[in-house]
Amino acid sequence: MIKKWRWSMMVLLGLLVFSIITVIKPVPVAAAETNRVLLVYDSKNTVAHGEKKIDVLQRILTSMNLSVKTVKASNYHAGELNATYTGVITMVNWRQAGLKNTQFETDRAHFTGIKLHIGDCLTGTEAKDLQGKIKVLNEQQLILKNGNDQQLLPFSDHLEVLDQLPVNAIKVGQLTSQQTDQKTYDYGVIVGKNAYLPYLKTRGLSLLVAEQTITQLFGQTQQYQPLLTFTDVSPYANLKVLDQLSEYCYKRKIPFAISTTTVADNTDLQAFAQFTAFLRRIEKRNGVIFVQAPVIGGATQSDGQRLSEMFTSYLVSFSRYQVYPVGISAPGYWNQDQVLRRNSLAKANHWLLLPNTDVTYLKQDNKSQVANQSFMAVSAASLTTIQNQSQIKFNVPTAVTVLVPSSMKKIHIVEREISGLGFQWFNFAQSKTSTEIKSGTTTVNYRQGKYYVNGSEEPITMSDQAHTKESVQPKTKVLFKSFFKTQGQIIGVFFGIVFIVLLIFILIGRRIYRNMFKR
Amino acid sequence: MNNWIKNKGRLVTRYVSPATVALVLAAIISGILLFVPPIHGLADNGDFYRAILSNGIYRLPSSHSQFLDYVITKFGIFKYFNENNTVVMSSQSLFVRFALLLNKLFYSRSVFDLRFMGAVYYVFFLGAVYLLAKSLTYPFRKISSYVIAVLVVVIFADSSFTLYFNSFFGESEMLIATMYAFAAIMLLVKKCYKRRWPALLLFFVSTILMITSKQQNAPLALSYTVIAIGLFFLSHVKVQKIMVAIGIAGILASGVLTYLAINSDFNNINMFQSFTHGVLVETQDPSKKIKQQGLDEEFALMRSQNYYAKQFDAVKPTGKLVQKRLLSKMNIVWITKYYLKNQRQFMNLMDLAAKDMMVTQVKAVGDYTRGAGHRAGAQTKYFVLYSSYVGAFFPGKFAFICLLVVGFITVYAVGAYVDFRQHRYQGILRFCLVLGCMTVVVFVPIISVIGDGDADLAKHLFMAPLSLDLVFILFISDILNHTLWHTKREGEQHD
Repeated sequence: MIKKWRWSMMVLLGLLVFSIITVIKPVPVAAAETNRVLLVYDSKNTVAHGEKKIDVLQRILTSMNLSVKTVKASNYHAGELNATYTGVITMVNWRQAGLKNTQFETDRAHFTGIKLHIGDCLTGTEAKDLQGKIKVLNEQQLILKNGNDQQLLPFSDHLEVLDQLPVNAIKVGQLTSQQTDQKTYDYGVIVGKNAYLPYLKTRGLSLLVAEQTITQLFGQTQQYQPLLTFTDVSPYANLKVLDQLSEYCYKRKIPFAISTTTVADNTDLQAFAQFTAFLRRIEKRNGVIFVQAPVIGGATQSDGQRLSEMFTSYLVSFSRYQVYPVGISAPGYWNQDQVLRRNSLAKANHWLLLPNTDVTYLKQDNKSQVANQSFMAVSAASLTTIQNQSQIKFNVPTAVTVLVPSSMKKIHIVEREISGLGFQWFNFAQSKTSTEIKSGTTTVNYRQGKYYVNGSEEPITMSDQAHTKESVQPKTKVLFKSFFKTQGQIIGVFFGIVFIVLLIFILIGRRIYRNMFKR
Repeated sequence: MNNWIKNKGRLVTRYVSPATVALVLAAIISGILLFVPPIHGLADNGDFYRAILSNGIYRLPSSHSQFLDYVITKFGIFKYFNENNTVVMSSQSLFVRFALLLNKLFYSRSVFDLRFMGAVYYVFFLGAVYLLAKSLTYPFRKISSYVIAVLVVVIFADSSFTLYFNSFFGESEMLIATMYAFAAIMLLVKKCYKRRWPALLLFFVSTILMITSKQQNAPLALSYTVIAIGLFFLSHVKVQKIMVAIGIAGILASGVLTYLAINSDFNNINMFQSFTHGVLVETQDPSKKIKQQGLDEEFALMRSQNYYAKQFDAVKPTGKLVQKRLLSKMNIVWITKYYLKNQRQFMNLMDLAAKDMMVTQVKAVGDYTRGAGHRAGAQTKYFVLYSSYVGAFFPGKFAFICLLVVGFITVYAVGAYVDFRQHRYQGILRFCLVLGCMTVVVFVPIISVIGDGDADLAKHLFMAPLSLDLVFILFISDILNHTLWHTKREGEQHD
């Protein structure tokens, strides 16, 4: 009896130990072959513009066709990083605060997919995975080199780089100190499925090298020609300047795009015909048009329908004047908002994601989606400080943006800027991609230089001048108009006579009244 | 039976003056509207922040929208240092701070109840109703006097006016101050009190308060100067004339200061709305018209765009582009020149203003609190008889208003002439009052259209229907008192 009891006790104990072991030792989380990435950041640290770094990273990943879920570390729940993700990116924007979520660190440690750490506070486990040692650089101004390109970086008071890396480590870009005994450190480091970037910048060579590291980490090796894009275009911009710039590009056989806002109302006015005449000229000069998302005023999440209707109106009114957009452009945060994305970006398969300005969310979900192709906007000005610009390689579809100046005086500066870049620009007309925008019952396609509306080809035949005839509304003939006009004049004359007669009566009456007392 | 009624009537008229009747009726009617739950008021259209933030009151966080739909009754009171600068200089602050003081004394130091604001205005309003009724009926206690008193209540205690009290809109102060100013002059005309200086002081103080309550009232300093000029006929004593001159200087100075206090942001907002809601509307296609006056015709696409977009817009008017390419080229001269060239469009806009003029109830915001059982933005139908009928039947033609103005001025000019011949100041003073009010009726729509287009037109016109109502009740009272063509009452000696 005692023996039996002992046996059962031993079995129970064994079960207990087994269950404890299984609980304590988590099963490694296998990464899935999906295109989903989890981005976990510590803080936006707006003082150091951390929110811009998050935005630029989100846009890079979108242009790589990776859907991103962005989570603040303090909001991370255990098990959120699971097998449905291809990779996880840790971003530290505020070293002093750091990333303090042990549940995330545990999940990340057991995640078997791609792992990328950006910024300071690399943990011991991460350094171990990268097989290197952390080295802190204080108070230095470094030069970033990548092949023949190089750029002087701003002064940095604290930077953590990896040292003593294994032989199989892939190194992208080098940071060189300016001391007499020039020391060199690696910028982007990839070891197997793990990678590290000591910092991320929103512009310049640092951004391009970061893109190269990230694409290489995710196994994307394709390189892209940049798309020259004129931004800040609206019906109220100096369209003559835009016209001259487009002519400049046309004469030099530079393909280009513009990102323009438009109006949903008042499209029957002559002014709209004038605006679209400028846009048609752009189409004829081998330019393509991205219709830009409107600015948000007092809209709330219930205004999604209105937004959708506005895009339909944009398409219909543009089509009337043979202006056919190839895609939709919007600030990056529009892809992080359920209502904005669903009622705008989702209508097109080609996006142009601009840096964030005036962020106003309607229903933020931080779950970005992807299109067939998304261009990440980088300002041309941010590339001009790079030496050997013509050697620059773009690892994600990139739109190099140039602001349309407000006056003719600055046009030569812009022209010099474009010629100085010397890139081989992306030509939509020669690419094999087919663009599509669908809103309401209108579908606009662009394939190899030809426009299609609801399936049928639409050549640009209208003249470059504004079509005044279309904008002039037919005069409505009002019945009895002349009768009422005459009647009005008769009444006017009648009242005039009555007024004069009354005045005469008053004067006569007054005299009679006075005379009554005089007698 | 007839005698019994007459005796009782005499007894009532002996102890209850028409002014007291007006006071009691207004107190009951407005009191029910403002203080008996569910209370009524006006919801925030986004302008409240101007009146509350700099005075230490803020909007409490809420999961619901706090704009347009429902009246919010509870606000927070800043406990510590208030970092908000004064958005606009306004005498409204005096009333808000007084209400805040009462709230802190009797209710709470951390939560502000809107009803304290309503109570402050309510008390001042009742005083205005009393003085106005008294100035129009004095010295009679006839049945017609009581009819006038009731009419005063019907017109001025109309909910379209009194709803403002439970809000932070500046119109409440404008209503009360204008009524006091009008009553003060009429008290002097009727010689209700032996001493003149209290009425004179009341006129100047309330006029200055009204002018400084809102930036848009700055030009009214000129109209009220016209009224004040009549006061020179009041006395031949040099000292008194000097005092009147000082008062007029005060009115003009307040107008100038109020105008100068308009900051560049407000100027930009007004210019933009004047362009998009004035220059670009009431015309078939303004593209070429604006091009002829030096603007890019594409700006015509901004037709009906608001400075602060309700939902979405192509560009932000606050951006550099619009500032540089549109607003920097625009000013009042540009707009005036445009309307001079396009007079038909201007007359259409004036007719639009005339249509909106007598619709005094603010339709854009709700009158009820959330949970009162009314849909969002619902309008009260309680005691709006006068405003509803006048709003519906008043001819929407500016020409009619001009005709009406000429009619009133002519009638009162006759009275002024007769009194002038008889060396009586009353008719002249009354004529100046009517003339001043009529300039308000004519020029406020013109200034509103030039200054802000048809944006918020009904609210911008507020002073015009108010002035017209005041002259209208004066006209009725003069007919009933038989003092329309002269101010001399039966048995009265020459001054």
